[in-house]
Amino acid sequence: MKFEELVKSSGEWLRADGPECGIVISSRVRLARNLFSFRFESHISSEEKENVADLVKEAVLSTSYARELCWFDLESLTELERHLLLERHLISREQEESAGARGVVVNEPETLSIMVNEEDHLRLQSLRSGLQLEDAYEQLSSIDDELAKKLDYAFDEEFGYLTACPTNVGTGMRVSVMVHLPALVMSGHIEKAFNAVHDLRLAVRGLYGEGTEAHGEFYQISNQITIGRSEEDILADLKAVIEGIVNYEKKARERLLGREPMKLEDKVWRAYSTLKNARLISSDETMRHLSSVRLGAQLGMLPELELKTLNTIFLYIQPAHLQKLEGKELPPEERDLVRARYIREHLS
Amino acid sequence: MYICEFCKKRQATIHLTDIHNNVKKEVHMCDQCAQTKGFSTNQALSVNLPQIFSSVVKNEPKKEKKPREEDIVCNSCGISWREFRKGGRFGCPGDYDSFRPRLRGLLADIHAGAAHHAGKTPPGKGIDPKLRNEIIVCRRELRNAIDNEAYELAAELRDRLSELSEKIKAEK
Repeated sequence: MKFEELVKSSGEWLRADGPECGIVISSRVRLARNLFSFRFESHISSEEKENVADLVKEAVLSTSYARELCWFDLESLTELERHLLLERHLISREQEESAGARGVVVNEPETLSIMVNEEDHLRLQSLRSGLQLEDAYEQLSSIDDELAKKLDYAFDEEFGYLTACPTNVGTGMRVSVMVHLPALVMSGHIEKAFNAVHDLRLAVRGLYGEGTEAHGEFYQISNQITIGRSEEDILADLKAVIEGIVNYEKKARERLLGREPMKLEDKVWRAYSTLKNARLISSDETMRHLSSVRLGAQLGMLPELELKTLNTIFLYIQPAHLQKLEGKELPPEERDLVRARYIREHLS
Repeated sequence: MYICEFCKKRQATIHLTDIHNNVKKEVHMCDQCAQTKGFSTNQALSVNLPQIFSSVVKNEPKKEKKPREEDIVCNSCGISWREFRKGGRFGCPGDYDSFRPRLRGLLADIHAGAAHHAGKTPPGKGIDPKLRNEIIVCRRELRNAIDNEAYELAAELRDRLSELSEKIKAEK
């Protein structure tokens, strides 16, 4: 798969066919792994980085998954291309911005990505549509075991998988679920929900992880504790919390619909009209309206609109995607124009 | 022979010892000073001992603050415990071994209690940590040798590295 093909294809998670996909956009599981005889990112030399990249690339491309995998060398990609991988959640912000030998291995349906020379030597990640944490973990764990036979993982009986940051040690596992909670926000219950989430030692973040803001009522909820519990327990606990939040959001939607149906319908149709007619639109404004339209589609107000279409717009209106589709770099004002056109074409 | 800690001139004839929380403090004073402080050998039990001790402590030159936790250094990558605490990131996997006792407390704080791994184990047998440390040290020295243009040493280190890599392959 070439980079241009990746730009045009879209990840399987966008299809919106997973369980609870009306509220849960995607499930992601990530494992942090390191090679025992190399220093971590903060102290590693450039030669060591090259060495790590070669070793991991060779190992990954000799697993049973090799045929569906493709290696992208981040050093040889442009800034724009790297940013596109970030927008797709295939690499992290840290990996996008760092220097030296580093890369990412991606499979065609984009359900799997392995980042090499991130903060940890390897970050294996699995992405699924809707709430499918066990599936995501199983795929990841099996490729992880294959890699463990080929690479010398840094592992300690007491501390588990050793990582560059003490917040990831143990299982090295971070599970995060992207949810859309417009009714909880509109009814003013979101803080209550998040306080309960924080009490359970889970983190709530914006769309692109640590330090990012939430746009359009989309949030990421993830575990913070990585040691002292098994992978299965971490998955089960997070799943239970997400199911609770999903139910809470569903009830809030019913209440909104029962109490002020016209107000809600008006909000949805206004948002839809803006998206269908705007000539210039920023990504913030798009996210806000997409959030309302998504809610309307879920409540049966826009029966002809598929979630898949909304997910695709959600992805492609981001700066790097737009510019890549246009085939050139665009200043922000021009992006607003191209974005508005893209949305109109896809909603008509 | 002790000199009185109050007048700093006369010989001390009264010696008090206070042991509190396993910390031993001593006060030595002469007869005259003992009397001005309202203390005589006949009425030892009625004297406010804490007051006497605190008055001596006040006269003493200021002691340094509580000594800092002793720093330790990872013998593989050379990062110190303080560097790690300041930056929040480890230098190499060997740090976990070098800082093990201190990490137990830190990890328990970060991860709400239990800091013992309870998850999966990589298949296959592990590799001797000594071998791992030697490789990391070797790589570090190689980098330094190249920086200092010590090419002969660098060549030796390269040979050593490939020997060690072969050993690992054999162990796997």
